[in-house]
Amino acid sequence: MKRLFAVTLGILTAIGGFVDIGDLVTNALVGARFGMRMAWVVVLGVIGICLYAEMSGRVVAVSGRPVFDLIRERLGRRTGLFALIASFLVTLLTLIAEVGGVALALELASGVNYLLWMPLAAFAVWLVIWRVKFSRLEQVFGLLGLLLVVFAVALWKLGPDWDSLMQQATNPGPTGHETWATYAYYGIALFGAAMTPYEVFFFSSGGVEEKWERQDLITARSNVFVGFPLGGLLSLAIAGCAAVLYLPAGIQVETLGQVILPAAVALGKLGLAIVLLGVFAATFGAALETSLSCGYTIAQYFGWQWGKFVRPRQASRFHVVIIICLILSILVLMTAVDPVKVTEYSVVFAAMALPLTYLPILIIANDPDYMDDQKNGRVLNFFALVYLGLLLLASIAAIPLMILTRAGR
Amino acid sequence: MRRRFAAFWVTIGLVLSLAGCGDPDQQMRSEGARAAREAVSGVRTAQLVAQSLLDGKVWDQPATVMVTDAEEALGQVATTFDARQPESAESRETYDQYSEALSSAADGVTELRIALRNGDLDAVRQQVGQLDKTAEQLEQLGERAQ
Repeated sequence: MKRLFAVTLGILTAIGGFVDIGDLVTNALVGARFGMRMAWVVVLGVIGICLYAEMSGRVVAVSGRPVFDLIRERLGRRTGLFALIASFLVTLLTLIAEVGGVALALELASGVNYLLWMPLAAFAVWLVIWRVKFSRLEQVFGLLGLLLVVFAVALWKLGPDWDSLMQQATNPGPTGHETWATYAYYGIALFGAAMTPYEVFFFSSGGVEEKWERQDLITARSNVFVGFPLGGLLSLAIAGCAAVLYLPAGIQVETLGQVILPAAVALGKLGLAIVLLGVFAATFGAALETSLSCGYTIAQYFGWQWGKFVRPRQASRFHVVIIICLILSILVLMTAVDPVKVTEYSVVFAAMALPLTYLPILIIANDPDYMDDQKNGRVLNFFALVYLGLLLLASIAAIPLMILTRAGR
Repeated sequence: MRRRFAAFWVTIGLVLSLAGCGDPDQQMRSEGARAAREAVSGVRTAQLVAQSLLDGKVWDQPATVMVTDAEEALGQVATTFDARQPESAESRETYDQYSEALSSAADGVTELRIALRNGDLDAVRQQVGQLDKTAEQLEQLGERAQ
C-alpha cells in the first residue's frame, strides 16, 4: 500500500512538474500560430524525454551516483567540461526565464509590475531551497502544478470542433502567412522545451537525494512512462486552447497574460484564479528545479559535496553556486529584458545543447562497469540513437533558422 | 577546391544582395502587411480581454496588465514600421496608409487602457466596438501582401 502511494504520488508530481514556463509559452505560441499542426513535435519530445530520463534514472538506481559525476569520470575532465558548460548555461538561461515567469504570474494577480516582484521571487526560491526538505518541495509544487489541468477543462468548455483539431494534428505544415522556415524554427523550440536538459539532471540528482536503489526502478519508471506523457497531454491542452481561441482571431502569443486568458474566457474568474495558481506553482517549482540543477551540475563535475540530503554547511559550495545563479538571474531580469523573450530563446538554445547533454548519458547507460546487468538493450539503443540523430539535426539547424526567420517573426 | 570555395561565397553574396534589392514599393507593402497582422494580434487581444471583463470573467488587475501589454506591443509595431524610409511616391502612399492605421489602432488600445484604469465600463464597452472595426480594417490591410 505504501509503495502504491509512493508510485501514485510520484506520477502526480511528475505530471504537475512536467510543464514549466518554456512549455507554457511555446505551446501557446505554436497553438496560436499553427493550430495543432505541431502536436506531433510534443509527442516526439515526450517520447525522447521518457527514453533519456529512464536511462538516467536507471543509472542512478544501479550506480547510486548522479549523471554528471559519472560523465566526468567516464569521459574525462575536458569532454566533461564541454558538456558542463553547455548544459549549465542553458539551465541558467532557463532559471532566468522561470524566475521571470514567477514574477509575471504575480504581476497578473496583483497588478504590481513584475520588476518589483522579481527580487522577492528569487529570494523565495532561495529560502525554499534552504529550508524545505527535498521530497516536500518536489511534491508540493508538483501537485500544485496539477492545477494546470484547468487548460484541458478550458479546452473542453471552449467547445472546439474536435474534427478540425484532429485534422490539423494529422496535417503537419505551416498555415496562412507562415513559412516552412518559421514552422521548422518553432518545431525545434517546442522540441527543446519538451526535452530541456535540466529535467534529466534534476531527475537523476533527485534520485540520489531520495536514495534510489534497484527496487526503486519501478517508481522511477512509472514516474517517467506515466507521469511525463500525461504532462505532455497538458502541453497539448495549452496548445489546443490557443488554437481554438487565437488562431481564428489572428492573435499571436507574446505575453504570459495571453497564455492564461483562454482559461478565463472558458471558465470565468474561478478558471483565472486556478490557472494563475497553477502557473505560479509550475514556474516556481521549475525555478527550484533549475536552481538546484545549476548547483548539481557544477558541484558534481568538480566533485564537491552537494545536495539537500546534507546540511547546507556541509555543502556550502553547492549552495553558493545556487545563490550566485539566483543573483545573476535577478541582474539579467533587472535590465528589463522581456522574460517571455528570454523563454523563447532559452528553449531554442536548449535544443542546441541537447546532444551534449544526452550523448554522455547514452554512453554511461551502455557501460557494463557502471550498469552491470542493467545496461541498455539493443532496441532501446536503436531508439536512443535515432533520437540522438534528431537532437543533432535540431542543434545544427537552430541558429541558421533563427537568423533566417529573425527569431520566428 | 579554392575556386569552388570562392564560387560558393560569391553565390551567397549575390543571393544576399538580391534579397536586399527587391522592389521598394513591394517591400513597403510586405512590411506594412506584416505590421498590420502583428497589430491585429494586439487589438484582438485587448478586445478579448475587455469583453471578458465586461462579462465578469476577469478581474480589473489582470485585465489592465494584459491590455497594457497589448498597448506596448502595438506601440512597438507602430514605431518599428514608422522608422522605415519610403523611397518612392507609391511607397510613401503605402507608408502613410499603414502608418495611419497602426497609429489609430495604438490610440484605440490606449483609450481602452485609460477607461479600464478609470473603471469607466461604458467607455470600455464603447471602445470594444470601436476596436472590432479597427481590427477588421487591419485584417484587410494585412491581406494585401505576403
